[in-house]
Amino acid sequence: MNKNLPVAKTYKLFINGAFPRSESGYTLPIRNTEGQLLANISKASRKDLRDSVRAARSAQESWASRTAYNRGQILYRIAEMMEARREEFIAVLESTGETHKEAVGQVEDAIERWVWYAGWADKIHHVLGTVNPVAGPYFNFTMPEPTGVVGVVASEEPALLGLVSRLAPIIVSGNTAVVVVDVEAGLAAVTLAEVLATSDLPGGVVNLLTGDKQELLPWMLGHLDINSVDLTGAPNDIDHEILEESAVNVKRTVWGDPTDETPYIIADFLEMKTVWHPIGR
Amino acid sequence: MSSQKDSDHRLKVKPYRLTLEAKIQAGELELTSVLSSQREACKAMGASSAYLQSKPHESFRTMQKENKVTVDDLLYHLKLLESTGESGIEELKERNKLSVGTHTTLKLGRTRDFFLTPSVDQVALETRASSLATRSIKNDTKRAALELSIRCMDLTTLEGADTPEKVASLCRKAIRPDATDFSVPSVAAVCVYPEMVDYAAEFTAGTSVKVASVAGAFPSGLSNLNVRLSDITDAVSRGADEIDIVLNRSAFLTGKYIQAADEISAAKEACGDAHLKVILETGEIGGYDQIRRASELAMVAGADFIKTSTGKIPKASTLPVVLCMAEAIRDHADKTGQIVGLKAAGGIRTAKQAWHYLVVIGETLGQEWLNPDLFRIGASSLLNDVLQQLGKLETGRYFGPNYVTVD
Amino acid sequence: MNTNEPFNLEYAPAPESTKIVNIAKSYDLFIGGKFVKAKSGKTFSTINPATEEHLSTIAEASTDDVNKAVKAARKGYKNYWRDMPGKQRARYLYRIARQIQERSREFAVLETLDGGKPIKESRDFDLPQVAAHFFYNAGWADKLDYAFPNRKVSPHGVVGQIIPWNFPLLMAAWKIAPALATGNTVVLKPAETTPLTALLLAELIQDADLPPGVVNIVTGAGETGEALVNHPDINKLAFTGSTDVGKMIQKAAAARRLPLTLELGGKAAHVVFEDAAIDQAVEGVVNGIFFNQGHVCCAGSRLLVQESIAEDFIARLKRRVALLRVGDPLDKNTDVGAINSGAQLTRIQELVESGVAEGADIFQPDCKLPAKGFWFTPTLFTGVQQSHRIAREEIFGPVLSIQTFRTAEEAVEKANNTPYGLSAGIWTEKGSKILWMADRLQAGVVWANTYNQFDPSSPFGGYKESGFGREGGLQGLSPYVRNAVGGRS
Repeated sequence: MNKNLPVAKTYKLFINGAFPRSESGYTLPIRNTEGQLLANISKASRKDLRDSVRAARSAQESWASRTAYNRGQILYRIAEMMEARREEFIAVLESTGETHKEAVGQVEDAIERWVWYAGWADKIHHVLGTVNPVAGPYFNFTMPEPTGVVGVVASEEPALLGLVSRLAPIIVSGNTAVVVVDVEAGLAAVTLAEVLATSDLPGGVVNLLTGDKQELLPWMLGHLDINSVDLTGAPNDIDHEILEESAVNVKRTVWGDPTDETPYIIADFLEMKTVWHPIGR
Repeated sequence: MSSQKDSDHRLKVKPYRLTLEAKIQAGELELTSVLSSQREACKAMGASSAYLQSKPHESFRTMQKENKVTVDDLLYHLKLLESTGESGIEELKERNKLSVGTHTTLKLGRTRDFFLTPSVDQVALETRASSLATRSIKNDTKRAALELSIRCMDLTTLEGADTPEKVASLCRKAIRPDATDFSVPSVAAVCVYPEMVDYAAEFTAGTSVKVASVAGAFPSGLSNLNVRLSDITDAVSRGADEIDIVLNRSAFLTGKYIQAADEISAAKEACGDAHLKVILETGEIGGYDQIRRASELAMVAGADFIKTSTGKIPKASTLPVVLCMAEAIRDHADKTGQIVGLKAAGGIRTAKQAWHYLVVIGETLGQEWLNPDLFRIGASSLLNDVLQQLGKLETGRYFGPNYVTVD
Repeated sequence: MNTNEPFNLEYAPAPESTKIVNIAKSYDLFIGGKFVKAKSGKTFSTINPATEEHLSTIAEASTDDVNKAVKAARKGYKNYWRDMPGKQRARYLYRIARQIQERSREFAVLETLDGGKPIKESRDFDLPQVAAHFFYNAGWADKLDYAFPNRKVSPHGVVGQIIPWNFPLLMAAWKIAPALATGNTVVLKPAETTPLTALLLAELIQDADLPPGVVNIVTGAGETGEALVNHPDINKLAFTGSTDVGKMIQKAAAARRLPLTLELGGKAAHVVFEDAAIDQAVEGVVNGIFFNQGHVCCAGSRLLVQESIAEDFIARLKRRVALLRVGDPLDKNTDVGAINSGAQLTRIQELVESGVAEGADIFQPDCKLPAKGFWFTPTLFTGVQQSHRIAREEIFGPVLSIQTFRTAEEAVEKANNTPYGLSAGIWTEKGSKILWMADRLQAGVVWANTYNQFDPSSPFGGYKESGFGREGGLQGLSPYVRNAVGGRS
């Protein structure tokens, strides 16, 4: 038995590398399976979403212009920091109902995802880029580039792996992300944010909002400065009219699998740029 | 021929150049004094040439106050210092004292052209040329175009085996290309070696056909300048109306642009009233950037015509080469008001090819260039193809080569 | 004779003969390998925009007809195409490619008659590209395992495809060839102003013995397109056209999570630096905006020229534009043909008027336009501000808006300051500057020291509101296969 009353952690949002409370001041309680209060989690508002997009946009160009080698190292650093805090992650997952074995497995896999995608940072161009044999005196090549700012609706199941499996392939190429997670996955998400904050990842590359997806989704899909949305964790019963909002700025919309591990997910969040130049003297 | 076309809308001579040229011509400003004062100024300022080049405007302002010179001059002298060192300056001063023609003096105002000529993109240039070659033509214009290509033709024989009789038959063909049809015009000129000029002059006397002679150690140009100049003087004295010389490619390719230009100026002086055509030998000076630069160099130095090729190497005139040179002529006219002609030579064998050249000239330089004073085609076998095409127009039948005379 | 008499370089009319094409009085829909009457019985007229003459009467497909076409495509998919070995699919595509080459002059003349583009372009650009697209994709049909390493792919099934009027046959080729190569069957809707070459292609497809239902062509306007987009039994949609319509289609597809590719509008910046190869840059800019009357989604419609050379460059541009030959599209010497339709002409006129009203300076060369038909004089605007409509909206006509910039950074900023992102041009002789610019320009295609180049092996498609998905090249195949894992819809 501890002598002192444990110091409980305040779970806040993660925007632009900082941990602010929600602008709205709202929180949502999260309880363990026995009904005990684990934490009051900040409930992000649409203004928090707006601020996150702004942060993501201003971070994007410099994140993308870092060398692929550097981005790979930073992703690997995230794996290192997760490894250092694996017991905490396991505890968080257990507290929300995972068995110990499940929790360990999920943390292992999540760490592995960061390591795996770290390696892709400077290899995806080999796999997806091409030099094209055009019929004329031109040198022509196609190279992948990040799409820009990606809105991510994370899957709660599995809470940690579902988030990492989408986030890693999105940011590895130079995208920045605004992630919305439901409170049920909030503990894992905020804990991950704490890892991200201490992993040399520049502020704004990942912004994490805990809250109500149904409420934030229309604002995300309708936002004119988000280039692409990952709807992998979007609710199935999502309103058609809300989905239609994605057309306002021709957003790329992706429906994926929460735990897949493949470079084709990286591809889903890339643009292909083709450059022509004459060959002459 | 390099007449000032004051009324021409193209004429946009930069005022500062005019001022400078006027001063030099009025004797207010000595070439040598400009040279030495700038050099002194450069030294006095203690600036490296690299610095002066990167900040030409700043340093120029200072120098302008002291020396009344232009930024172009500054760049020119810096380049000269870089490429030839002190000896280059000394050489030029020496040359100036020995009275080089006015062209060298004039050159001072626009020396930048030698070094900073616009780049030319090979693929886009060739694409443009081939798109112009798709222009097609119907019967009405065809006859006029065929006749024009005859009127612009320099009928050429440049063989070691040339004889008076060979030149005589060439001249007859030149004067009356179609023995059976007097309405077919004469060609512009016959082009021969200096030793054949006497005969050519004799056989063409009293006709519109001019006598052109290659001169100056054709086709290499690599003999002593004095020898080359006397070759020119000799050809002119024998009766040549036009002199075709080659650019000194050896000097050009080693970056001695001033030398190459000066030699042309000297040749121009030696020509007297004869017109000077400068052959760039585009097939061996290395790409369109160089062709553009050589064109500007030759024009600034005083060429009345610039010409593609000697006909003595396999790579002769092509449509994009002529397009590139035509663009240089157009821009030169815009800048200076000087109208320079163009001669395409070598490899032009069919009427259709000749038509393509007319299109390139017409669409690049304008129709005023489409006359023998400003455009020439140097050829030997083209004429008969043109005559056969004319025959086809006349009779409606396709012609055979035996229905026109071989020479 | 007077040797100084100037020669008048007037190209006499050199019209291509139309004898080679045989336009039927009317055309039916192409469904299940046969030409069938539209159930609706409705028709529309297609005209020659250069003369406003009626060319043929075209069946208008209703929802019922579209249903029939999708059903035929489903049958073609299940009965023939899905399970046909790739090598056999390749054979069919090669055969189509060859037959297009053999009949290319006929197609070119028909394209020019129906759409108004110069014969020079339909003959030398559109048709060679059409054949090349079939050839290129034919070769992929039996090599898909190598196109997608570690990923078993399968076709979507029935693909709905809607194409525009600017490159009618070429867009049909861009759509049909990769779809068929990957094992899909197709219901294609050509644009209502230019249906004829697609229908001639249908005849050719019959001659090639392609199994029934593999390619179906339904003609009609917006309603036909809507019926196709909303059809519940299509598995993928591909659209090329305006951003406005593209957004409507994306909306319709969004709720159904229907895989979609969009190739939409553009407002490309064409950036000319002071160190460019100047005369070739002029050519590139002219080709960039006046190619196909400016009816090109990737047209270089915004010229950004470095201030230090702006005066000289614009003077050269004006001189060059004055040489453009506008007129009879069938004349081999014509550079700029007819505007595709009266509606498009009205839109161009309206935007040009806005440019004048907003204070930009207009330049139009002396240019005699034919009395009948839809025509617009090649137009340059100088003094254009970033806020002007002509600097922001896609005009889709022979109108160039010219702005200046001082530094490379400013050029990038202005170039990217648009919701579009299809293409961009750069002219400079400095290699490192090309790569620096190419890296920063938000555009799917960047032409450096060239413009408007296309090739079947080179992917084409946009960033931002210019659409998503690529057409051409290896990257052009993936939109036509089902994602075994992951997957952008």
